[in-house]
Amino acid sequence: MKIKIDNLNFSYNKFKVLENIDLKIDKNTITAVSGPSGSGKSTLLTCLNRLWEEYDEALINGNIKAEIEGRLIDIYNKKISVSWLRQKIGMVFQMPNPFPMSIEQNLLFPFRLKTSPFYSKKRINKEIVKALKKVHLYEEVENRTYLPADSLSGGQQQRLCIARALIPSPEILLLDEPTSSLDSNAEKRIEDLLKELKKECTIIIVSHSESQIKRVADHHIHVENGKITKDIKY
Amino acid sequence: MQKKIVPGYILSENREQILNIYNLFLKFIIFSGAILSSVLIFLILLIMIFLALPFFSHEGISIFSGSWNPVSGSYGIAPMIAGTVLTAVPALIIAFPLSLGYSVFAAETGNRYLKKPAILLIRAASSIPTVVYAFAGIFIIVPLIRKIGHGGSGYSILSASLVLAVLISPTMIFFFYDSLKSVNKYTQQGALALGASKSEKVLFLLIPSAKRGIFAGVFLGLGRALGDTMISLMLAGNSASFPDSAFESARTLTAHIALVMAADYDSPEFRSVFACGIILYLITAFLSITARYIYKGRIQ
Amino acid sequence: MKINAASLFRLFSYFSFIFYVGVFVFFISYLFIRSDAPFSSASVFGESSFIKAVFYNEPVFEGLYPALCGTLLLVATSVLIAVPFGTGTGLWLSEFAKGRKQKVMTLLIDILSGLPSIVIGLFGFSIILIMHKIIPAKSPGFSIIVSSFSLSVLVLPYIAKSTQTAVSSLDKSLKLSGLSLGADKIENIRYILLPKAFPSILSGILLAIARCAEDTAVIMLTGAVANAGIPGSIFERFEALPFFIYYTSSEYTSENELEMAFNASVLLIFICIVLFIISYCINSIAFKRKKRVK
Repeated sequence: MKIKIDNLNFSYNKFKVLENIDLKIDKNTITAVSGPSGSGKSTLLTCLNRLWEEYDEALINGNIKAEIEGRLIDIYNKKISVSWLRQKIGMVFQMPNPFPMSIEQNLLFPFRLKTSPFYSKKRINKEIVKALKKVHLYEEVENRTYLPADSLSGGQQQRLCIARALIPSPEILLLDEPTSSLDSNAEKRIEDLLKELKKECTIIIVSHSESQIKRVADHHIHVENGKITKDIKY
Repeated sequence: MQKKIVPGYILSENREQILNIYNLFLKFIIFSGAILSSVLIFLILLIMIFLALPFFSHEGISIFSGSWNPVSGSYGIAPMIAGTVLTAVPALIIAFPLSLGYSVFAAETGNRYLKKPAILLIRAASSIPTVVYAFAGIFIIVPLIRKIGHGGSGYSILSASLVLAVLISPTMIFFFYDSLKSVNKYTQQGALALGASKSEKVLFLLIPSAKRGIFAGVFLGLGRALGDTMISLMLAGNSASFPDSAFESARTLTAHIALVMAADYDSPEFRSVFACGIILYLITAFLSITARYIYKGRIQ
Repeated sequence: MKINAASLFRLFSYFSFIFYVGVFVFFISYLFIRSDAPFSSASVFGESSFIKAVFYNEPVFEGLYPALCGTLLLVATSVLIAVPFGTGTGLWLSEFAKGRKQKVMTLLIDILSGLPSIVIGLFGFSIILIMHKIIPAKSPGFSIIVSSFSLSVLVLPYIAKSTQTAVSSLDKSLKLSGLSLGADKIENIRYILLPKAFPSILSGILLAIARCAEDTAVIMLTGAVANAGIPGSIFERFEALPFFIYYTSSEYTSENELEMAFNASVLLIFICIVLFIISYCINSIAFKRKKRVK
């Protein structure tokens, strides 16, 4: 078991968004979270990487434990560095949000942070190429990583964001409707990508497309009005 | 006469006769305002050129010659150009990092209760007249420089630069602050999700993203520094020769114009101020155009 | 060794904050300390008194009253000239200019706003020269009217820009409402847009007023002098607060005069800050109202 959520409650501005969430997620699986808009599915994701700490109006209580680097840790333990946690639990957003810089700069970003170990230039380049290859972008941008990230197509940008999130070798990858702004071709490529990535991370993906869930998910959770209504393992 | 049912602000026919005059007035100021403004810009330059011409056609004139000594017939304004550059550029060098730091504080890293007052303070500071800065500078900075410079009058490039730096900071701080604040929030979230701390986000995402605004702000600050009159007039000493050190006195183009106005109307001395004016006009116009070009796409 | 560049930078931002706050607090307090009861009757009216000076026209020596009057008259005249044309230009930019015309005009206004004030003073002076050559008998020469005209050239861009921003940031539906009821463009502006945008325009005008009151370089070249008493008409030379400060700083002969200059500085800062505060309040009230409606 990779992630265990016990009795998670989340409220924003006193409005209850998530209530009594109990969830167990296994290693190396793809878990899909579905539900009508506003049901709290994206919130569930952002509770896992503590992104809510930037906002004062958010109130979280409950217990979330995850197995990272062999140890079972309590995600909300104050002693754990949030920066480190977020590198181990990566996130990809709904609309691709590459930084307004070159492709290479986007991928260099995680290396600049103080929580990233110090690598030599050679090693850094290797990691970048590795990440690009994983998302199958390498062939497409190979020698032109100096190009601005904005010049890529939507699907490519999203894969770039995934590559960027993969650089710190996360053990859990969170994706919030990653293909909703993409055409079906790009969508298929990303779905195939996720199935490959499953081998090295545990993936949680928010999706509102039944067919997508059927195609990729090993575990399906349906959230409605802040509560889990379906929990199916395939 | 039928009374139409209309919203209150459209009045009945009786009074429209009189009101048409107001409408005409409005029309007048709108169109003549536009014409006037566009004409003015060129008129200013043209008049200066017209009045400076005798200067250029005068015998033995070379404005870019090195010395200004009307008595002996040399009217070079090169020392003044040097004076302008030597006061403005150091001011910019001092002000730039500090303004950037302050804007980062007000936009991101500052304590949440201090952020708003921080930007308010700067707005208020930008309404302080330059003559007041210069005046205070005489009593605060000049004695200090006198001490550090081991004698000398204290009226020097250094004094002027220091006070100039404080003068141009609010303008730059605004620009930087606006640029930092307008980086897409969504993109910022991406940085946070990758594990960046707030200061890492500022240094590695916000500032690179705000590059354009930062450049534009620098150009604007430089323009302000080059164009200021009172600070260099009152603090830089006004000797019309090339300064040898930072503690020496110098004269800027702007101060030169102010000082020479007391001379004869037809003398070459006098005409030289128009040459100065033209140079200043061209430089600041260039800076404004470049700043706008860099910033293009951000403002309407 | 990965030294925390980011943390250093954060520290530097704290330092910059402290630096500027310190600098501003220090130098404003210095001016206050060196001044001597700047708001008192003695500082403004010298040995005379409010009633005698204002109503009986008793000349005021050793007081800031003449300079204050000069500044007041100067600002009033400048505003009278600048506001109509500045607002007109701004309205033209936001309502009548399309595409390229708008871009070019905005560029021209930008250039104008970047010009050094001394260049504008020089322009004013040139006008005096030219008028003297063309109509020697009737030319005004150094006077309030010429200074005001030059000052209005100085602040025209401010007013134009703030009017343009104020009007173009109005709700689109508001702009269309009048037109859809049959009003023509001018009527739309007059009855709907101007009233709605008025607070923002006003705050821009207030800032322009502050700019007129504080400028020295322009008036130095067009009519400000050290001693002119209370201005009798707008065709005469005049005294002004900022010029008084400059003039005294280079040619003061007694501690008293110097003190007067400090008083003048405090008064000038006070006027500018008050105008700023009023302008800011108007802006935030207008903004809050807009938010509430939404």
